[in-house]
Amino acid sequence: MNNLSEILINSLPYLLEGAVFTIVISLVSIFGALIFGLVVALCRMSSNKFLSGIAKGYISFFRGTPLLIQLLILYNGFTFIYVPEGWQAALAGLILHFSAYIAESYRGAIQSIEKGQWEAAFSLGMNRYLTYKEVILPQAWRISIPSVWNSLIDIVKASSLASVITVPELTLAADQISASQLIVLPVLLEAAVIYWILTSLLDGLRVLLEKRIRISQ
Amino acid sequence: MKHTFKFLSALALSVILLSACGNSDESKSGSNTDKKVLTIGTEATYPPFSYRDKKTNEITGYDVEVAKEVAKRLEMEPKFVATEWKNMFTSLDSKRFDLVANQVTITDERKAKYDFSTPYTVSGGQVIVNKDNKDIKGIEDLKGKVVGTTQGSNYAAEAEKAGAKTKFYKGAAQVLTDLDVNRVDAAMNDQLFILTELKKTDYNVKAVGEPFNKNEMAFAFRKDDKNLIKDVNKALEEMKKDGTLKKLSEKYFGENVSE
Repeated sequence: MNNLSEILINSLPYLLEGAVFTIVISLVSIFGALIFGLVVALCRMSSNKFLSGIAKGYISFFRGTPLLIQLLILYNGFTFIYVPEGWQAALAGLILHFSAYIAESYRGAIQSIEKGQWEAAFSLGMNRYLTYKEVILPQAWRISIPSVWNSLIDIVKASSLASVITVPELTLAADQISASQLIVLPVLLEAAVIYWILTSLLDGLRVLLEKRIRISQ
Repeated sequence: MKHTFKFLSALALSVILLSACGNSDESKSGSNTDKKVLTIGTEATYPPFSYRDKKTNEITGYDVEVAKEVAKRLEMEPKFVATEWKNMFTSLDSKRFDLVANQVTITDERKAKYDFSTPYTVSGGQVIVNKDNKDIKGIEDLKGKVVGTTQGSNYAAEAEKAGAKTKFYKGAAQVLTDLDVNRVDAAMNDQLFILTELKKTDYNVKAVGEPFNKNEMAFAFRKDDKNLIKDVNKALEEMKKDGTLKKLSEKYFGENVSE
């Protein structure tokens, strides 16, 4: 007979160790995807046919194929050039995959700003770069928050797929404990609760942020 | 814009930190300097051979301890890489580790691509069914039945040979969970696993029939690694002679299963 509570309590430190990995990987991927997503969005809207073509293809591929396949390709596909560690492939995969989503969120927000504002900025003698920097982006990023945040919460959850490529994060920790003790459900529930706490904290951050930037009507 | 720079520098910092973490793992600095590292692939999800200890959460088990002892005798620092079985051999190919310590059965197909050490376990496979199952009494009754197994395991091959349909799982725990609720008709596993681990669980399952084959388990290596194989075999030979292997075997199975 397995003593259930004993197993849950004993496994907690190891699960939390995994959770630290989940948090670090999620945070780095979030920063990476927020920044790279903007690069992709600007390329996508560029008048340069070549740039916008590349961005279109990029978004189409990374949104159109499963993240798990992308991770496996990054982990196993290029080993003749370089053998990546699991966490390296995981970061690359998460950033590439979610930049495609976030780029589209940004694009939606940027294009929702009226054309008249561009014209007004140009008539003040601003160039494209200045207009983006001073007029468009300060408004667009506020508009993009709800849909960008969807992707950020997805990043935390999707980081669990890194368990398949040997990253010792929360899901792999839960897997190994449940396999070692030959009990599955309680340990998985324990891990699920930890994920839930993490995503709730992240969503709390959104609430705070939206409070701070609310423009008084 | 200021904030963007803060974000950027934070990102750069975390990447540097992360890579520093990655590096410090590999170059085990500290007390054991200049020790070469022996990297070992193992599942950490297959008790009693390779699993995480209930109290310490460290990777341990019969195969893990044998591999540790071998590394000690080669004056190397063992480093275990937890890898799912279905990725085990591709990871060995791409040199993510030097050998596999995970109850790897020596088969002709595997011998064509990989080299093996001398065996350190002799065992056999047995069929496991739900306790309420009355019509499967051994491997000969598996024709047309659904057998739960792990991708690339030699039990998958055995099940197909017996005319069964296979259903693939991550590991033994997931197979047993499904057998418990009759989502598969049968499973197969090492009789040592059945004797030691299955007894401890609350699953409504039982082993049936005699062991249907005799397997020898050994460490698996890449074909080009002749020197390492020679050294490992020498260490295993010594361990057989001085009783270390017997002691490890008795610790885990209560009997000597190493020959």
